[in-house]
Amino acid sequence: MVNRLIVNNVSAGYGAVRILHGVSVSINEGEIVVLLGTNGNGKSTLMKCIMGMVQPDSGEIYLESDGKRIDLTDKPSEEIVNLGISLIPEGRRLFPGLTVRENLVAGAYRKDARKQLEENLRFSYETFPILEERKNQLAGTLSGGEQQMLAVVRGLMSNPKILLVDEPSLGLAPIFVSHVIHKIKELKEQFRLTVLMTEQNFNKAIQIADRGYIIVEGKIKFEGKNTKELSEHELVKKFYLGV
Amino acid sequence: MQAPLLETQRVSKYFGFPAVLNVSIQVNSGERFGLIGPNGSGKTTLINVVTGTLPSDGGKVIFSEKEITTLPAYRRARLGMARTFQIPKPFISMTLLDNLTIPLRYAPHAEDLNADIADEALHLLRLIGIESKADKRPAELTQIEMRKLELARALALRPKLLLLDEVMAGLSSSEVDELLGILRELNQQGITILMIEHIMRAVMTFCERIAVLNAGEKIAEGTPEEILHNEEVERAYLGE
Repeated sequence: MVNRLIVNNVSAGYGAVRILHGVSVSINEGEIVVLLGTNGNGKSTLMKCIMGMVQPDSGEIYLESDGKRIDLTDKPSEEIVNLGISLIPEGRRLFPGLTVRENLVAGAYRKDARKQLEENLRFSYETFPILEERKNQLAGTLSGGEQQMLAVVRGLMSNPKILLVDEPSLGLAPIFVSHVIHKIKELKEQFRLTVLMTEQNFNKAIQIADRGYIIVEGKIKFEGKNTKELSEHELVKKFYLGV
Repeated sequence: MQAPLLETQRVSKYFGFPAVLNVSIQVNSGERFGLIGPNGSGKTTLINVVTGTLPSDGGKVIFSEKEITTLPAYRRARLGMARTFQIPKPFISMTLLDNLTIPLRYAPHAEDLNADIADEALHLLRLIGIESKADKRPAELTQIEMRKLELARALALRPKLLLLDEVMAGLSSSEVDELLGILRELNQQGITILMIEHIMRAVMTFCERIAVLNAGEKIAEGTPEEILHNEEVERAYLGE
């Protein structure tokens, strides 16, 4: 039985501004799915809907797990995190007055993650050794890129089964962009981590993605069954490949 | 030979460790200058020391042939340097128009503008292409519009030198091209641009000269071509 995360016909927005118009996507266990589209098309809003941070006006969001259906739309964010879904948000959203280590520990608040705290801390420091050097420094005093690194590994501290990651490479030097992208792939291969990712660096994203969607003005414009289909699509050429 | 518009002479800044160490750069008038380096290498800190956001712990900053090392930030701004921040910092409760009238009121040319401040604010929004959102608040903007607002706010000063801290992060390649077009136009109008950026396509096509920082120190400087083929830069920054 394959576990899946399903978003079916979801519409959502903020006040009078409607962002998503009947969006449907599904992500199967162990897949890396990339969500493409320029800014302001609803990618982050979709992730917030899945996490319970934005309440959809209509539509369904649910997990299919061992044949059971678990609705997410009626759950608060903390319960969604407890189900093993984690978001690495755009814009870092760290606790600037807590140290690097404290930010990581806060990321492991979910019950299932606490047991593996030490192991996950080690993983974080191995992924970005600079964070271990700076572990007792306040997060607000890190450079922008270091804060991004911290945000990425903090999102992994909750031991997620499903990871939503919004622009993982934003603000990172080229050498770290490759690093982050390959770490995500490694997690998928080792732990069957399921990933929904937005990434403006298309060429890096398709190195690890299995398939993806293009979202334009809050609607799914195209579903690419593999990265080849995505690369060849005219919208991808226009937005990302400078053709 | 003309003196550089901006010069740092062995500038240092310590946060318990040397965040910037003895860095000297020269940016000539009218130039498009790039500053790159791994995360935490001191790029933003150097800009903070240049603009007076942070005091330096050593070395000199010279702008328009004046030493400005200890001047407060607002006085440096009035001499003609403006900057953007990595995370845009608009006045969130105000409309876009007001976000520009505020800096315009404090700009060196405010007296000349007088009653025309609102016109000038609209002109800046038009220049950057967000005029249609003039009466909206920043919360309603997309990322690229937010970056554009940040840029317009810096331009309100009519700067000679524009310091851009990752204005293109998170933008798609078509949005990057759009912003680069605007920046080229500003440069042609005579604005000198110093750009921190990780999007290599942007830095390499836009900048005439690039300096590379690593762990607070300058490890290379040259044309984009020279930087691309520098082994130390490849090791520290570019990767494979």
